[in-house]
Amino acid sequence: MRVALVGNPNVGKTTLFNALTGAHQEVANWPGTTVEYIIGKVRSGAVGDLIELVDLPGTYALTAYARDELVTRNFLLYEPYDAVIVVVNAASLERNLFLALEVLELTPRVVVALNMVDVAEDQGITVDAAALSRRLGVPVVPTVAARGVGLTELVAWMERIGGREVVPINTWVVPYSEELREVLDPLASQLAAAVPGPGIAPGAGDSRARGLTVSPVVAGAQPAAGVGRFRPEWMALRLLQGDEEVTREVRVIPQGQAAVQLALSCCAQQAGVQVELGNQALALEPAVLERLRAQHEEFEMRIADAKYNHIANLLADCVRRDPLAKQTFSERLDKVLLHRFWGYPAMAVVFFAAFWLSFVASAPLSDWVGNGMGWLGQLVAKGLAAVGAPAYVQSLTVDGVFAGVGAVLSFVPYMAIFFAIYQLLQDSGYMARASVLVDRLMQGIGLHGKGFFALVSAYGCNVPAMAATRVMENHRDRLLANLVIPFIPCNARLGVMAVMTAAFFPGTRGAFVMMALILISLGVVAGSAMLYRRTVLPTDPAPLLIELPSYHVPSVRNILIPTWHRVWMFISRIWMFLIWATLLTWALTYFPMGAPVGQSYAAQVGHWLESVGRWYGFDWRLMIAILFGFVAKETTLSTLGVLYGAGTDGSLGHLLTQAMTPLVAFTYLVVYMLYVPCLSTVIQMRRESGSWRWTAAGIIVNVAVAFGLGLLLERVGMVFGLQI
Amino acid sequence: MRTVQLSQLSVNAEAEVQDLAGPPQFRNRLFSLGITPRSRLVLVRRMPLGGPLEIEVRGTRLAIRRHDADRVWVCVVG
Ligand SMILES: Nc1nc2c(ncn2[C@@H]2O[C@H](COP(=O)(O)OP(=O)(O)OP(=O)(O)O)[C@@H](O)[C@H]2O)c(=O)[nH]1
Ligand SMILES: [Mg+2]
Repeated sequence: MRVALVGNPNVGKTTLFNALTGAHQEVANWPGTTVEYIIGKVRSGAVGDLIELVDLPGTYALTAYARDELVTRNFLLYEPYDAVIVVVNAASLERNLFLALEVLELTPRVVVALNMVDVAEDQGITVDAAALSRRLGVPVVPTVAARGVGLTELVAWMERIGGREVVPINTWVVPYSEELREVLDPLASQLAAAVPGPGIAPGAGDSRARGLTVSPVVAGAQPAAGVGRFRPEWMALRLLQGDEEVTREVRVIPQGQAAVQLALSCCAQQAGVQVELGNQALALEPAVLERLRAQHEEFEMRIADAKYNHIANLLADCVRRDPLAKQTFSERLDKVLLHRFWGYPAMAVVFFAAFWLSFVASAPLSDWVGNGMGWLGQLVAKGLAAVGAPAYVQSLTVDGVFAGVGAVLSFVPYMAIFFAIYQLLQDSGYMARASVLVDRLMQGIGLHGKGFFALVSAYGCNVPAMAATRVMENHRDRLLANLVIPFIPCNARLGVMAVMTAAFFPGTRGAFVMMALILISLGVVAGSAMLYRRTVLPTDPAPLLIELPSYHVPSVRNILIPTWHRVWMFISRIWMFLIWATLLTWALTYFPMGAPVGQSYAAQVGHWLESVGRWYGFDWRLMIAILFGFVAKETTLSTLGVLYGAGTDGSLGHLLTQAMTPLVAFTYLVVYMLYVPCLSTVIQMRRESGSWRWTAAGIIVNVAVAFGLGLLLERVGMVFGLQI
Repeated sequence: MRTVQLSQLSVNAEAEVQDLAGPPQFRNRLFSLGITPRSRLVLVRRMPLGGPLEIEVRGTRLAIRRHDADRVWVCVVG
C-alpha cells in the first residue's frame, strides 16, 4: 500500500514522516530532477503488510504553473498510490484547506492530518475535528507530529482508506455557484461518460456530505492509469481553467475530444467570442485566443474564490477563536530580528556563529580524521614492509588508497555540522526571515534572497553550499546559484591561498593581497551572475513569495535525521570518484617505476600543459598542481611539496619564491581561486542542476574566466611593470 | 474608499484586495496563497533598504517583493 504526504510547506509533513517511519527509510533519488521525494516504510500490525509512505515537497496548489509545484502534482497525477494524507496546519487552516480541497477534487482517498493543534491552541484557536470531518466528508485526525500525538489513529485511517474502503463524497466538493455549475455539470457528465469510472460511483448531486459511512467498494476497482482515473469533476474544472496538460491528456481518451471542445465552446460563449470550433481549435487567431485565455483565467479566479468562500463557511462552523491580548512570541522576536536597524547586526551574529561552528570548530575534527587515516596507512605500510611487499604496493596503499579514503572522510565533519546548523536555522523559522532581509541586495545582482546563506556558506565548502541552494523553489534561481558558487573560495582554497600569500607578500602586504583576492572573487560572482541573468537565465516571471512561519524550537530528531541523510548521500555518491582520482594521481606521479618525479608521467603531462602555462609564467609543476587540485584542493600544498622537492620542514614557501615573481604568484592565486574547485563540487553541481550539460557549461565558464582573468591581470601587470 | 497599490499601503493598515494584475503565473500563485479579490490583508512591516513587505493574509504571514506588491490593488478599510 502506498500513501502520499501532501501539504503546504512547513506544516510538518517530514516530521510526520519521520515519526511514522522511524529508521525505516530509503532515499529515492529521481533522475532528471533535483527535487527528490523520500519513501519510507510504516510497519502496521493490522494489515500485516508494509505501508509505503512518500514524503513530497510542500506546495500551495496543484496547478502546473510553478515549477516547484510540479513534483507534487506529477506524483498525484501520474504515480500509483492508494491514499493521500493531506497535512494541514491547524493554526492557519484558511490557507491550508485550499490545497486540501484541490486534492479532494482529485481523489476521494484522503485523510486529513490536522497538525500543530498545540500551536493553534497557544494562539487561542480551537478546531472541531469531528465537525470538519463531517463537512469535508473525509476523516480528520488531530495530530501533534512533533510529539507523536494522534499517529495511531492516523495509521488506522490510512489503512482503511488505502484499503479501498472509500467514503462517498460529494460530486462537487465545493458548492460552486449556479453559473459555474451550468457550465461544469454538462462537462462533467460528458467526461463521466467518456471515462469508464475510476471505481467510485459519484454521489448524487446533493450539496451535503453524507458523513463518515464507510462502504467497501466493488472488487476490481483498481484505478486506471493516466488521466482516466481522475474524477470527471476534477477534469471538468481543469478544462475550464485552461490547464494545458490536462487538456492534452483528455484529448487522447476516447470521446475526450468532445469534452475538450465543449469546454472551449463554453469559454468562447462566456467570452462573447463567435467562433466555429472545429478539431483545430488551436489554430485560432491570436486575438481570439487571447480572449479565450482571459476567460480561462476568469474561470480560474471564480473557482478559487468559490473555494475560499466554502472554506470561510467551514471555518465559521468548525473553528473557535479566542483572540489573545498578548503579542505572540514570534511577533516580539521579529521586533528585533526584523528591526530596520538591528536586523542586520543580528543576522551577522547568527551567521557568524553558524559558520564558525561549521568551519572553524569542525576543523580539528577533520584533522583528526585525516591524521587517523594517515596513521592507519603508516601502520598498514609497516605491516606490508614486514611481509616484504614490493615498494609500489606500499606506496599505493599509503599514498593511493588511504589518501583517497582520507580525502572522502575529511569532508564528513564539515558536512555533518554544517547540515545540522543549516537544518536548525531552517527549521526554527529564522532562515526565511534572513532571506527576506537580504533579498533586495541579492536581487541587485540577479540572485534570490534565499540563496544568500548558500553563497556565504560557500566560503566554508562549496559542496554543502550547493546542497543549500535547494531552498529556492525556482529552478533557474537554483541553477544560477550553483553556477556562481564555484567562484567563491572555500576553506581549502583559502588555506592554500593564505600559505602562498604569506610566502610572497610578507607582513601587511599579505593582508591587502588577500583582501584583493576576495574582492576579485566577489566581483566575479556578481559579474557572472548578472551576465548569466542577461543571457541564458532570464528571470522567471513567477514571483517569489516567502512565507514567514512562527518561530519555534526544532526537535533533535528533525535535525539529526536530515543531517544524516545528506551526509550519507554525499559520501555514497562521492567515494568512488574520489578514490579513483586519487589512485590516478598516485599512479601518474609514481610511474614509470623508479623514475624521479621530474620524469614521471605527471611531469610529462605537466610539460605538455606548460605550453599554456608559459603565457602566465607558470612552470610545469604549477600546472600539475592546478590539474591535481581538481581532485581535492586540500592536496595542492602537498603536491607542490612533492614536485618542488620540499621536505616537511616548511621550505616550500622559500622554494616557491625562488621559482616565480610576485606578479606570477598573484596571477597564480587568482587562477587557483577561481577555476573549478574540485571533483566533489562538480558531482554536487550535477546533482543540483540535474543536467550534465549545465554542469559542463558551468565548468567551462569557470575555467575560461579563471584563465582569462589571470591572463588579463598578468598582461596589465606587465604593462605597468607592477612589482606588487 | 481609496484604491492604492499594496506597496503604497501604510504599516498596520488593513485593506481589501480589489484586483490583481500581472502574468497568469503570478496571479495564480497569489490565489493559492490566499490573496484573492475581496480577501483582507494587513501590512505588517516594510523590510529595510527597499526590501520586501510583510503582510498578514488569511492567518499567515507572507513576504512579497515591492515590485510584485505594485501589481496588487487594494482598498483601505476602516
Ligand atoms: N509545535 C509543533 N511543531 C511541529 C508539529 N509538527 C511539525 N512541527 C515543526 O514544524 C517544523 C516544520 O516541519 P517539517 O516536517 O519540516 O515540515 P514539512 O511540511 O516537511 O515542510 P516542507 O518539507 O518544507 O514542505 C519543524 O520544525 C517541526 O518540528 C506539531 O504538531 N507541533
Ligand atoms: Mg518536508
